[in-house]
Amino acid sequence: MISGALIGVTLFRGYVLRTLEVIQTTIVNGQFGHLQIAKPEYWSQEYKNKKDTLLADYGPLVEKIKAIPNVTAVSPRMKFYGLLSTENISDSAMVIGIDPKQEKDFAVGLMMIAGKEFLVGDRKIMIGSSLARRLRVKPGDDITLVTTTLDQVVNAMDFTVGGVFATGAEEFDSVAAFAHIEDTQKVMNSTAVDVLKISINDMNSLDSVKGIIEREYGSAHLETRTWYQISDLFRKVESFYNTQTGLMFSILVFIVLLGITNTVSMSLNERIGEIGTLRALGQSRSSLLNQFMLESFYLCITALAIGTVACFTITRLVNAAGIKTEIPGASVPILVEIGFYSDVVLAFSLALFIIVNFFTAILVFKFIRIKIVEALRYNI
Amino acid sequence: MLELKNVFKSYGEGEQKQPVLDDMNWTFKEGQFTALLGKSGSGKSTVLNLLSGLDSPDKGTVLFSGNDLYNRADNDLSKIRLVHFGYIFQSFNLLSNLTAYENIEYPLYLLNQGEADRKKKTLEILEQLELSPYQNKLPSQLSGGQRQRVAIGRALVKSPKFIFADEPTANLDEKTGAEIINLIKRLQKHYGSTIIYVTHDTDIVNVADTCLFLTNKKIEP
Repeated sequence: MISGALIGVTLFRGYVLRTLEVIQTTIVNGQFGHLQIAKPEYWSQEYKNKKDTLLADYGPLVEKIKAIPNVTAVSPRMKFYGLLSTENISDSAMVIGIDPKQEKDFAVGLMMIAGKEFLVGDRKIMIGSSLARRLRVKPGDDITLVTTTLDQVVNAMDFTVGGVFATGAEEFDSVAAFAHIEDTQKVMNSTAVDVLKISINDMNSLDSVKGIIEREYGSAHLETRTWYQISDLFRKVESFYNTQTGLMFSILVFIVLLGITNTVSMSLNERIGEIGTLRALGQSRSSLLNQFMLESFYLCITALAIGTVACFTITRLVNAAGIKTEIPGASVPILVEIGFYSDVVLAFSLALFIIVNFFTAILVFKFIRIKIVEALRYNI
Repeated sequence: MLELKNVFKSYGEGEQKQPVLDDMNWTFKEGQFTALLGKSGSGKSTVLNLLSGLDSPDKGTVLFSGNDLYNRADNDLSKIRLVHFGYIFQSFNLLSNLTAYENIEYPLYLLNQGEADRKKKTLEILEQLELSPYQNKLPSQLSGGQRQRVAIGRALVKSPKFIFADEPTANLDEKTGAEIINLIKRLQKHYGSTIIYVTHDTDIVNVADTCLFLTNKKIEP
């Protein structure tokens, strides 16, 4: 029962954490980077003119941030909304201009449905899978981007579809398109960018890099945000999964407690005669409590060890099976992967160990207080 | 020395309350085989339980070596039972998952005696009880007489001052019962323990040093 509870909750948590890792990789590499630096007006979206939100002379800033330890790349981005049109169909799109030379890990979080991973600056555009489906385009097709410049003048640019991608998030794949930053600047008739996307080589140094940037540029009317602060979707998904994990753990603990209480009570009932005999032989209540708790610890540790081994084995088997599943809000089937996290196993094991033994101790305490003469009436 | 002083004991609650012992007084001398006789329900086992630290009186005191046996913490009373008292039960009360050897050794283990000491004493008792060939058998693999001999060994192995026997032959046939009584008597002489032996079998008068009768909720010689 204890093994079953550990397997259930650990596998579920392993699945959740692995899924969140995949989403995080997609978000960090494909969408936001580890950090982004922009003007406060860009983050708050409270401005009179779009120009007020842009970073105009960003070249020196890029070089300075690149010099910070652990920073691997700093790349400009420009995001705006426009209309993508083929000969017959038009649809609105969120166009993101990126520099593929700086964003070498750009495609890590993307699944290429068709075409090449990225354009090389020859007026190619990558389109999200759902958007491409609506526009009925494939790599090699021509498509026109129509938008307004920063001066509110209508402008257009012809592109060739270079590839069709999926991030897994339907919300993103149904509107997003990637183009080269220079092309987006041309169509916007500006040399400025929205944000600088910052990539680092170690997620653990995220806060320290953010701290350095804030110390250096906090007073320069710039604001830095982490991918986690930017991604509202990730926070909601994480919160949803955490609630589910907590709920599942609570239900499992409740079932385990019912089972354990029943099993321990039955076991102790069968041992009342033994308890009476041991007390008559001179064993004190505290010594009996220690003896029974030692048995409980041993059984609990054995059950948890079995659960851990089973959990590890099931994780490997499931991952090797390559199971794919459709999930709400995902544009493509998701590969079911379960992570085996030693800290998760340890945390849940510890929680189960404490809860089970606490309730066992309460029951044992009750049984060892039975009068000796009454206990001796039971058969041993 | 064990002494009952103005001891009262009753069972049940309220109107159902039934007095069993009424202002009982008696001093049990050390080194003797004392038999406590009486009809069924006369309170023999109750007296034994009070004397052996298993059950406390409603009123009055049980004195062990001059001190109140029950006016002490559980750990202290447990220690007295462990060091000074031995028990032989009617239904043997052997620990079913331990062998004959382990059952006899168990009190020495509780007394924290060393392994070599435990082994020496346990083997000696097994030999005296003629149980050496059965030392690795579980209680379920032994006959009634053998089980009771293991129980006697468990009571004697720590050389207690007092051994309390509660109808130890009640579950045995006549011949085995007689053997067990003679064995207890022989070992009592060998170890010098005090035996307080509860029974309704009047044949015990042949082996006991002192016979006491429980009548009208009191002890009479």
